[in-house]
Amino acid sequence: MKKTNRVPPELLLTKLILYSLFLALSVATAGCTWLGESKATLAKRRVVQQVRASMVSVRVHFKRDIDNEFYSDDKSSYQERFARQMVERKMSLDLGGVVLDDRGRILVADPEIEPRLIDRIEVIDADGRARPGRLLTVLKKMDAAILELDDPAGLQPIHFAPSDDFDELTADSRMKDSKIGSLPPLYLVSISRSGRDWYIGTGSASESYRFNSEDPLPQYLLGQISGDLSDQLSSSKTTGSTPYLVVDGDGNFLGAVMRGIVDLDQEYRIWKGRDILAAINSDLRVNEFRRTQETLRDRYSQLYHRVKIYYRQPSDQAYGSTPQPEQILYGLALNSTDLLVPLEMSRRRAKQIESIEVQLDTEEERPNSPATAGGAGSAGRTSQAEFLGAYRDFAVFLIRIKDARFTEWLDLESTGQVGKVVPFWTVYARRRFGRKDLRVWYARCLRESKGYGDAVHLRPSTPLLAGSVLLDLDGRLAGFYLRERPPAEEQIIMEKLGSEYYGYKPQSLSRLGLGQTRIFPISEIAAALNNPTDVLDPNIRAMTKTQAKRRMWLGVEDVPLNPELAKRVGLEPLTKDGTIGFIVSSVYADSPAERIGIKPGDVLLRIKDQARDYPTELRTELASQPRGGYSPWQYSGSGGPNGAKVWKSRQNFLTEFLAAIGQDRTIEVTFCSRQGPAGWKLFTKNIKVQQAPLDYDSAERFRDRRIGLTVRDLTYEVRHALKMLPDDPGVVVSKVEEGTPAAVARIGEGELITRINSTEVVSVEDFEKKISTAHQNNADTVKVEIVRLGKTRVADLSLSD
Amino acid sequence: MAKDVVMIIRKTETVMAMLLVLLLVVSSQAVEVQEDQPIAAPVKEYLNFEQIIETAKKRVYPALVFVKPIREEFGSGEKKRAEIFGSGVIISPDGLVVTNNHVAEKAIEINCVLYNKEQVKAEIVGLDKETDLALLRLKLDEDAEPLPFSEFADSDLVSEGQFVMALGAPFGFDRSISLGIIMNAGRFLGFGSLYRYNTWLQTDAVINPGNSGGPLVNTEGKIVGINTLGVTIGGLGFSIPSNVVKDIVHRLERDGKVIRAWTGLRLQALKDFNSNTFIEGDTGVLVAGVEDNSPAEYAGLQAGDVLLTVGDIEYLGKYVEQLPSLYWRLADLPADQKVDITYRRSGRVRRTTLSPFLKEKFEGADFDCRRWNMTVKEISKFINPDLYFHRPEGGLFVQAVRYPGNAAKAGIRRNDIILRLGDTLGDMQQMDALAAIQKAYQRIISDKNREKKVLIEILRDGLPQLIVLDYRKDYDEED
Repeated sequence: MKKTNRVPPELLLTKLILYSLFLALSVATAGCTWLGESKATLAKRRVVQQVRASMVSVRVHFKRDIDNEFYSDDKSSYQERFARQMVERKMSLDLGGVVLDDRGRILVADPEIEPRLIDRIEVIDADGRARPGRLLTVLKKMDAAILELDDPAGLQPIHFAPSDDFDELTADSRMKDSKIGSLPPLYLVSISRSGRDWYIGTGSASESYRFNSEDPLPQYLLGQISGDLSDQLSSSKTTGSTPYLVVDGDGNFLGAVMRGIVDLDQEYRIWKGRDILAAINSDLRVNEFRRTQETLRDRYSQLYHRVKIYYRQPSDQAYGSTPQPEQILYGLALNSTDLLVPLEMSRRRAKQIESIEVQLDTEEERPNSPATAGGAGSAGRTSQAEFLGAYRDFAVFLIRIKDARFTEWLDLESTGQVGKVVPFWTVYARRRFGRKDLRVWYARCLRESKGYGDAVHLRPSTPLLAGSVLLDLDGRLAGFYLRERPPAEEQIIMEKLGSEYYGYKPQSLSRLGLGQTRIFPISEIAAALNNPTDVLDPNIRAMTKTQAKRRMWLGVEDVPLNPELAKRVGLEPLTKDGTIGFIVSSVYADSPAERIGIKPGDVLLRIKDQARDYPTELRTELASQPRGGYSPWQYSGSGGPNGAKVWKSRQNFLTEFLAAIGQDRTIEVTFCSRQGPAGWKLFTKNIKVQQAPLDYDSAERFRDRRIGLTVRDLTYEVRHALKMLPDDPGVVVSKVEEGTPAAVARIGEGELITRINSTEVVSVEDFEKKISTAHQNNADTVKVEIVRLGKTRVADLSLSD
Repeated sequence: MAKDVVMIIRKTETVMAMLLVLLLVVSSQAVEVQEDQPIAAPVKEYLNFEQIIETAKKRVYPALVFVKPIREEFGSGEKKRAEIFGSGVIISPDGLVVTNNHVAEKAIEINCVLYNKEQVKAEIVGLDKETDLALLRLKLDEDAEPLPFSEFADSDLVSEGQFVMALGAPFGFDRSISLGIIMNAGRFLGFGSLYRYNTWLQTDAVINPGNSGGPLVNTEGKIVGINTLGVTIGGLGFSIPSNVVKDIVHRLERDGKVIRAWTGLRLQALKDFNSNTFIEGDTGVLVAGVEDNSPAEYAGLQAGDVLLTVGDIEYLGKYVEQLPSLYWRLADLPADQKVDITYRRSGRVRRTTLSPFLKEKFEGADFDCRRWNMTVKEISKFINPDLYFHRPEGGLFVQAVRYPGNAAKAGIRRNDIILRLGDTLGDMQQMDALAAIQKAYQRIISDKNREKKVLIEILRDGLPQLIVLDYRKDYDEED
C-alpha cells in the first residue's frame, strides 16, 4: 500500500474501509476468487482472520422484578431510566469486547450501569457460545471495564504486539512527515451488530497520529477517523459501545479506541494495550469499589439534612401552575448554621416561601438503618430556618437555621478535582419511599463542551442528576453538577417565553438554550460557597406576604401593536414592521412613565437593563395570550359588559419584566412619540425600576366573616378605571360569600362601599373601625351606600350571622 | 315557518332571576257587550263555565289582530330585514290597534290580518319603549265598515284567582287562545331603567313567543292587560295592566309619543325585601342614588335621603310594588318647572325645589356600517349605563359585529365605544354622534380610489386603542 499524507484521507478511507465480513464466509475460499481485489483488501482480510477468535459480544440483561429501582420521576438517574426502558422493551444492552488473556478477562466499554440493576451478563464468542461473565474491574485511565469469565476455555486471547514501539511511531509521524510513507500500516477492528448478526469490521487508521505530551494520561490520540467507521463509532449499530482495536498488519494488538472524545477537536484516543493489561489488577476492583460506595453513602448521609419548605398558596386566582404547598429537599451542611441546597429556586418561588424547617438529626433518616438508631430523644429534632438567598451564577440556594448548630459539615478545605476519563463519585440525595435515599455512583468525563462565555467544560459521559455532589476517588469534594445561570436569566426567559414563562419548569430551560447544566469544579465555586454575600442574586428573596404582592411598574396600561396598524400609522421602520411595540393607552399619575414624558399614544419599543449588552425588544406576542393557552395577564378587563370590575389586572408583561430586572436597577426605556405631522420621534430615557404603589392585588384588605364581605382599599388603577379622584371615599368589594348578610344585601364584587350609616368610609381600616363600632353598639344592621359604576344605592347590612 | 320575536331580558333585581321571553299575540273580534255584570261578584251557584268562556271569547275574538311587521334589525352586525310575528288588539272602530313596542319598533311595513282573514296595512301612531307599548292605525278604506273592537277593563279591580284568557298568535299560529288565572295582580319586576312605570299582571295562561301584544281578557271579554313577557320555562306570563295601557294609548294618540320628565332620581323601597334593607317609617321613598348632572343632584338630593313629598303629593314607597307609580308621577312632572319637594335626611325634614328636565331620547338610533360588517348605535344613559359610565359625553358604540366579517376580523367587539375614525393619525375625526359616522362612512365607502382600510380608535374597558379595519373583502358578495 502506497500512500502519502498529501492524498486526502477521506478519499483513501472510502476506498480502504472494508465492510464487515461475515464469519462463515471469511476464510474458506480465500486466494482463488479474490484475484481482482487490491493488496490492501487482502491485508485487511488477514487482520480479521487473526483477531476474530478473540472478539466477543457481551450482553447485559437487566433485572425485571425490581419495581423499586424503577421509580420514575425527575430524580431518577440516567442509568435507572435507561434500565427501565430496556426492561419495558424487553431488550438487553449489547457490547463488543475483546479477550485479553487466557483467564478470560475481557475488555469492554465501561457500561456505567449499577450492579443492582443488572440481572446477569453473558459473553458470546465467535462460535455463538454463551458463558456467564461478571464485572471485575473498572479501569481508571480509560473508559473501559474488564469482565471476567468463570470458564474461559476455548477463547483465544488477542495477540499483543511484540514491542512497545507505539509511542515512537506516533511521535515520529507527527514530527517527520516525510517518513510517514515508510511506516507500517495500522488497522482498526471493531465488532458490531446488525439485527441478529455480528460483524467484524476493519478500517485503516489515518496516519496523522499525534502525541499529546501535555496530557497527564499516557495515552494516544488518533487522528481523524472519517467515513463509515466514524459513523459506527458515534452511532454504533449496537445498543451499547464497543472498543475498536488498533492492530498492526499481522493482527497484533497495539491498543484500543474507546468512545471517549476528550477535546473539542473530536479526536479519538488510543489506549495502549499494555497499559490495559497492567490496569486489570491495579484499578478499581469491583468489590472494593462497592465498599467505598457504602462508606461514602454513610458519610454523606450525615451531611444531608431534610429541608421542608412551605409555600404560601395564592388566595384568589392561581396564575400559571400553582406551586406545591410543601417541598421536601435535602441540603448539605456548609458550616455550623448554613445549608446548601443544590437545587433551583426562582424569584417567583422564593417570594412565596412561608417557612422552612430543617431536620437537625440525620440519623433516623439514614437509609438502611433501623428507625430507632438515632435514639428516641433526638428523633425528628427540627429547627426553623430562613432563606439566605440563591446564587446568581448557578442553581444553588442557601438557608440558615435558627437557634441550633450543625456538628458536621462539608469539607471545603481538603478538596479534589474532576479530571478527564478518571471516574469520580457522584452523590445525590433524594426522597424515596418516605425517607432519604442517597444515590452514590461514579461517572466519567469523556468529552469537553464549550459553554457560556467560551468556557470549555468537562462533560460527563452520561447525564448526571442536577444537584449532584462530585467527589474524587479518595472521597474528597471535587465539585457539583449544577445548572449554570446566565446573567439576567429571568429576563431572558421572559423575552423568550412571554406569559408562557409561568408554566416553564427549570428542567426545560436547557431546551431554551439557556443554563447549561454542567460540572462546577470546586475550585470555581469554593470562594462563592465560603463567602456568598456578593454573589447571591439580589432578586431572589424571601418576602412577607404583603411584600410578595408588590409589583414594579412603569405606570402605563398598554396594548400590543400589530403590523397592520404599524403600516397605517407609519411605524414600520421603528417597530420592525409592527412586530415590536406596546402602545400606551394610559399613563398613571406620578409614575416613572409620566416622569420620563411617556404619553398615551406613545409606543414602547425596548427596555434595556443597563447591566446587559442588548435591550429586550417588546415583541408584540410577549403581551399577548399564548395560542390556546391561559394567559396570566389579562388584556381585557375582567368585568365584561355586566361586571362592575372594569380595571385590568396590573399583572402584565411590563410589571413582571421589571420585577425580573429588579428594583432600583437602572433601565433604558426606548419609546417613540408622534410629533404631529412630522411623524414619530424616538426617545431613550434612563430610569430606575421602581416599586408600584399598592394595587388591587396588594391592597390592604379586611374580611368580616360574619358579614361575608371582603373589602380592599381603593388603589390607583381602580380609581383610574372608575374615574375617581385620589381622595374620593370608598372601599372596593373584592369578595362576597354566598348566603351571608352581604350576599343577602345584594352587594356585588367590584362595587364600592362609600358610606356606612351616612358617614364616608375612607379606607379599609376605617371600614373595619366603623363595623366594629357598630358591633360594640350592638347594632343589628348598618346602612351602607353602594356604588356601582357611578350609580349609588343603599342597603342594610346585617351584622349578625 | 314564522319567525318569532324573542327577546331575552336579564332581570337584575327581582327575586325570580329568570330569563323572560317577550311574546307577541294577535287578537280581534268585538262582540257587543251584552251584559255588564262584574264576574268578580260573589256567585252562589255553579256557573256554566264553558258558556262564560264562550261569551267572553266571542266578545274579544273579532278584535284580535295578527301583526306581521317587516322590520330592520341591527343586532346581528348588519341591517337586516325580517318579518316577525306578533299580536294586537283593535280598540276603536276606526282601527286603532294596541300591540307591544317590541313588535312594532323599527318596522318599515306592518301588515295585519284581521278576524275576517283580511290583510290590512297599518301605520305606527306612536311607540313607547319604556312601557313596551305601541299604537297602530289600520289603513282602512274611506268607506270601510266600523271594525269590531274590544274594551278595556279596569285593571285595578283585577285580583288573584280570576280567570283570564290570553289571545294571540303563538309561534305565528294565528287565533289562539289559552286559559288561566291571575297569579298576581301587582307583580313588580325590577328591570332597572326599562319598564319601570308599571307593575305586572302575572298569569299562568300560556304566553308564548308570538303572543306579544295580544290581549289578556277577563271572562267578560274585556282587556285587562297586554301580554308582553313570558318565562321560557314554567309557564309564567306577564301582562301590562289595562289602566297603564289606556293612559299610554291616550298619550300616543295625542302626542305620537310619551313625553316624560327626567329627574335623575333612583328610588328604592323603604322595605326592600330583595336586599333586606329596611328604612324606618311608612311614608316616603328612599333615594337610592341620583344621576350625575341631573335635576335631583342640582336639588341637593343624595343617596340615603327619604323623599317625602313632591309638589305636595305624598310619595309612598314602602314596598317595591309602589315604585312604578312613583316613577310614573315623577315622569309626569312638567319639565323645567320648579316643584317643591320635601325629604328627610338624618332625621330632619328638609325642603327644596326640583326642576325636572325633559327626558331625552330613551334609546339611541342605529346605523349599519354595512361594508365593515358592524352596526353602531348611540350610547343611551338609560339603556347602556355601563358604556355611558365610560363615555358620559355620549357617543357611539358597536352594537354588533357580523360573523364572519371585516370588523370581527379586525378584532372589533360588541360594546366597543367608537371614539375617532380616519385614514391616518393626523386626520382622525371625532365620532360623537350618529351623523358623524354616517357621513364618514358614506364618504369613505363612496371613495373608490382609496385603499380599503380605515383607522378606528375605540375605547374598550375604559382604555383607548387603535384598530385598522380592512374592508377589502365584501361579505355581501359571498354566496
